[in-house]
Amino acid sequence: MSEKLLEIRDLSVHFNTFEGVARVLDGVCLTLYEGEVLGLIGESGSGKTVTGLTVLRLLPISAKVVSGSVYFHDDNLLVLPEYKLRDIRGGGISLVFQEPGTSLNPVAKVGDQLMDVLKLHQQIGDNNAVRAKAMELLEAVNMPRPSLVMSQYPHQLSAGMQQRVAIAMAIASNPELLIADEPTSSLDVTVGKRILELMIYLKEKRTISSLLFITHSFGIISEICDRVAAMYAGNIVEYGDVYTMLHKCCHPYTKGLINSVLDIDKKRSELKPMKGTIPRLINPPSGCGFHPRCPERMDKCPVEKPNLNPIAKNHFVACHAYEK
Amino acid sequence: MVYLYSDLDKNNPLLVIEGLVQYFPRRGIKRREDKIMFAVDNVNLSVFKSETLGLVGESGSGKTTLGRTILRLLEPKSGAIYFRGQDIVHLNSKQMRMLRVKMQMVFQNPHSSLNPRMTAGQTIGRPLKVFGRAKKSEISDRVKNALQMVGLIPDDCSKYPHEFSGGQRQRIGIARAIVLNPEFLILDEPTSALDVSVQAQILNLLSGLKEQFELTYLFISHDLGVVRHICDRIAVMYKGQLLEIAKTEELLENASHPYTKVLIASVPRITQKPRQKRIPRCAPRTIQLDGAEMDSKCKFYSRCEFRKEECKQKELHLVEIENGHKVRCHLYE
Amino acid sequence: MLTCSLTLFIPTLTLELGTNSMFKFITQAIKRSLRRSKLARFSTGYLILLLVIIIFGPYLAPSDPLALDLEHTVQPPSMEYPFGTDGMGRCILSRIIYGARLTSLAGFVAILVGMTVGIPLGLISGYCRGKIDTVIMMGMETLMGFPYLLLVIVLITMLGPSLPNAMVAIGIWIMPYYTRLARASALSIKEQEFIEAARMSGESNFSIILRYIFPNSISPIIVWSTIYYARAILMAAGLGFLGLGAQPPIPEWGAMTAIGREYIFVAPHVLFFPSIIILLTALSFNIWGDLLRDILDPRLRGME
Repeated sequence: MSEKLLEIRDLSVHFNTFEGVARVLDGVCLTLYEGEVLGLIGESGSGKTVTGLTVLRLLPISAKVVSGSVYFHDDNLLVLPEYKLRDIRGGGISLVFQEPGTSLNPVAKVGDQLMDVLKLHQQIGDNNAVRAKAMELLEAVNMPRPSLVMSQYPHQLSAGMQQRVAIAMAIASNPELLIADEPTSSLDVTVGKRILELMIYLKEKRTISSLLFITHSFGIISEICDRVAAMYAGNIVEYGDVYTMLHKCCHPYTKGLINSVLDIDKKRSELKPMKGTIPRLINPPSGCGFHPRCPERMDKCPVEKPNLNPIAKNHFVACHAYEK
Repeated sequence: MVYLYSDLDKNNPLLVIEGLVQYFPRRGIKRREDKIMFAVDNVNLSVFKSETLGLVGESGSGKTTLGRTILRLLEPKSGAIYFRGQDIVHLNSKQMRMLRVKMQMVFQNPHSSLNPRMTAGQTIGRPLKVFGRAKKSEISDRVKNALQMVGLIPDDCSKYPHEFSGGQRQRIGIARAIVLNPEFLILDEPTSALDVSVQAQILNLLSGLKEQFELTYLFISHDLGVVRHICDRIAVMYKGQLLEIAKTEELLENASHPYTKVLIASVPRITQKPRQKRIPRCAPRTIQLDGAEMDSKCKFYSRCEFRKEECKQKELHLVEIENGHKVRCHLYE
Repeated sequence: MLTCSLTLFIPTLTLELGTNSMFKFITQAIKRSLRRSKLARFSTGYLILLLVIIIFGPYLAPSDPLALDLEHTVQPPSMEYPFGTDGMGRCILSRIIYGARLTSLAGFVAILVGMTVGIPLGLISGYCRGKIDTVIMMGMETLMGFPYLLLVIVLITMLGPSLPNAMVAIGIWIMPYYTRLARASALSIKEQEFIEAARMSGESNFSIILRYIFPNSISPIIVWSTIYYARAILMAAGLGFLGLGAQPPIPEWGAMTAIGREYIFVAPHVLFFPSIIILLTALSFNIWGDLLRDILDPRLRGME
C-alpha cells in the first residue's frame, strides 16, 4: 500500500462577493497516494480549481479558509509559515495552469524564466551550470530545438510549446506532486494529446511522483487516471478507481454526467440530459447540494447532507440512496 | 430520432460555395502581397436541405472565418456563394439584409453574444422590428413564443443577460436566430463554452428545433464527440483547406486523410475495458518542419508522415473515393 | 441631427437603463465611501450638504446676495454676517449659498456641451476607424494640444465675457476628453460578438452605435464626468477670477475671489471663504470620481 502524499480533510473555503458569501468548498475530503494519478472532475462552480489552489494557498484575498486541513506528508500546509511554504511551492508541489499564455512572464525570455526557477529551489552556484540544467529541462519536455527556445519570448512560441515551458518550470525541482488544472483545455486536441503523453511519461520516469489532474473531460480521465473524484457544488460526491467510476458509478450526479458525455466512440442515440442547472453558491441548497435536480431524491435529502460512505473496496459515495 | 440525408437531395443543395478565398491583409509597413496566410483557401462545399453538416478543425483551420464569410459578415476576397441557386456575393447591402432573414447565425460565447444593456425580449424582438416582419402589437407575442420554443418562460423577456446562466443565454441567442423563421443556420461552436450537462440540453434543443422547422444546419466545432452525435456529414478543415468530407459514420470508420486520422486518434475517449490506458509512453513523433507551410501547396505537409516532395508543389483537389466521401491527398489521386 | 438625437437619447436611455439599478448603485457607492476613509466620509457629507444648499438655497441664506450695505463694508464674520461682508457690503455667506447654484450649473452645462459633441464624435471615430477616425482624432488632439487657459481665453475673447459663454468655452475644452473616452469604449465594444449578432439582425451602423455601443460605454463616461465636472468648476472659477466669466455683481464663486484679491492683506476672509468652498467642492467630486471608478472596475470583472 503506497504512502499518503496529500490528504485534504474537511476543507471549507468561503469567498466574499458583492452579493454575499459564496460557499465554494464545503467539507472536501480527498486523499492522494504516492505514485498515482488522481483525477478531479466537475463542471464550473464545482470547486475543483479552488481545491487545487487552496493546497498551495494561492487563493485571492476575498477567499477565506473556514475550516479543515491539508496535509502534505506530515505538515499541515494551511498553517505552515510562509517561508516554509515557499520551499514547498515548486519544490514539493507544483502547479500547471490552464492558459499557458498567461502563466508565463511575457517580458522575460524563456531561458531566463527557467533559470530563475532553478536558482530559487536549487543551490547551483555557477551560471553556466544553471543554464545547462535549464536546457536539460527543455529536453525533458520534448521541446524541439531547445537552444533556440531558450532565447525566445513566450509569445514567439505556439500554445503547445508554451505549455511545455510551463511544465518544465513546474518540474524544475523534481516536485513530488504536480497539480495540473485543465492544462489541455485551451489547446488543440492534437497538441493536447502530446501534452498528456508528456505528463504520463514524466510520471513513469519518476520525475514527478504523483499527479492531481483537474479536468471536466471524462475522456482524459479515462486515458490517464488511476482514481477519480467527482465534485459538485463544493463537495466530493463520489470517488473510486477509474473503471468503477466510468462504468459502475452510483451517485445520481455522476450517472447524469456520464450520460451527458458525447464520446467519439459512442453511437448516436437519444441524449438524456439532467434537469436544472448548477446551484448558486451564495445560497446553496440545504442538505445535499444535488437534491433539487436529483431523480432519486428521498425525503432525507434536503434535510441532511450525506457523508462519503464506502460502497465497495475503493469506491465511496455521498448519497442517502446508497447508504448501507 | 431520424437523421435525414437522402441521395435524392444530391442535386438540390441549399448552399453552394465555390473557390471561396478569405485572407486578412497584413497591416503596417510590411505589406507583402506574396506571402499571405489564407484563412480560407479555395474552399468548395455544398450544404443540402435539411441536413446538418459538421465543420471541424482546430484553431487556425479557418472554420469560423468560413462561417462568417458565408454570411458576408466578412467580405470574401474571391469565389462564389450560391444560396438557393442565387449568387449572393454581389448583392448590395439592402438585398443582403433581406437575405439575412433566411440565413442566421448562433454564436459561440454566451457571455458576449448578447447586448448587456438589452433585455432578452428586446434582443429577440429587434430582428422583427428591423426587418419589419411583424406589426408592433405582434412583436411581443412572437418574442414570448420564441422564448417558449427554446425552453424559457415568457416572463424572462424583461430580464437582462446577467440574470441568466450561460446555458440560458445561449438559448436566448438561439431564439434570436430563429425568430425570423430562417431556413439556414450557421452554428459557430454553440456549446463549446458550456458545461457538459448544459451542452446536452442545448444539443437536444437544436435537434428538436431542426425537426420542427425543417432547418438546415452548418455546425462548426472542434469537438468530434459532439459533431458525431448531431451531424449527418462531416467536413474537416486544416489551415484554410478542406481536406476531407464524408458521411459521419463513414468518416469515423474509414478516415482517409492523414490529418483526419491523427485528429480522430488524438481525441480523448472513455475506454471500455478496465486497466486499459491508451496513452503510450511518448510515442515517436513525426519531426515537425517549420516555415515550410507558407510555401507548400498542402498545408499539412510539415506534420504528415506520408509526405512527399510533390506535395509541396502539386495543386490538389477533392477526389471522390466512395459515395459521397471526398479526400484531398496525393495518396488518393 | 446626430447631436440632437443624442441629446434626447441621453436622458431617456439613462432612465430606461433602470433608475432602479441607478439608485441601488448610488446607495451602494455612498455606503462604500463611508467605510473607506475619513476623507471619503467627509466628501460624501460635503456633497450631500452641497446638494441641500443647491435645492434649498434661497431659504437658507440670511440675506439677499445682491443687497448692498455700504455702512458695513469689509466686515469680519459676525452674528449678522456669518462670513463677513465684501467690498460692497454684501453678505458673503448668502453669496456663497446662491453661488452654489450658479457654479454647479456652470459645471453641469459645460460638461453637457462637451458630452453632446464629444461622445458622438468619439463613438463614430472608434466604430468606423479608417479615414474618419484619423480626421476626428487629429482634430481632437490639436484641440488638446493647446494650453487650456490659452484656449479658453481665446474663446472667451471671441464670444465675450459672461457666465454662459464661459460654460460654452469650457465645454469646448472638455470635448476632446470625452471623444477620447468614447472612442476607447467603442474600440473595445466593437469586437464583442453581440455586435456581429446585431449586424445579423439587420441593424444599420447608426443603430448599432446608438443602441449597442453607446449604452455599454456609459460606465466610464459617468465616472470620468465627475472628475471633469470638478475640472469644469475650477475652470469656471478661474475664469471668474480673471474677470472673463461671470461678471460682478453675480455671486459666482470665482468672481468672488476676484473681488477678494484686493483685500487679501486687509481682510483675508473675503478671499478665503469663496476659495475654500471651491477647493472643497472640486476635491469632493474628485474623490467621488475615484470611488466610482473603483466600484465599477471590479464589478465589471465580477459580472462575468
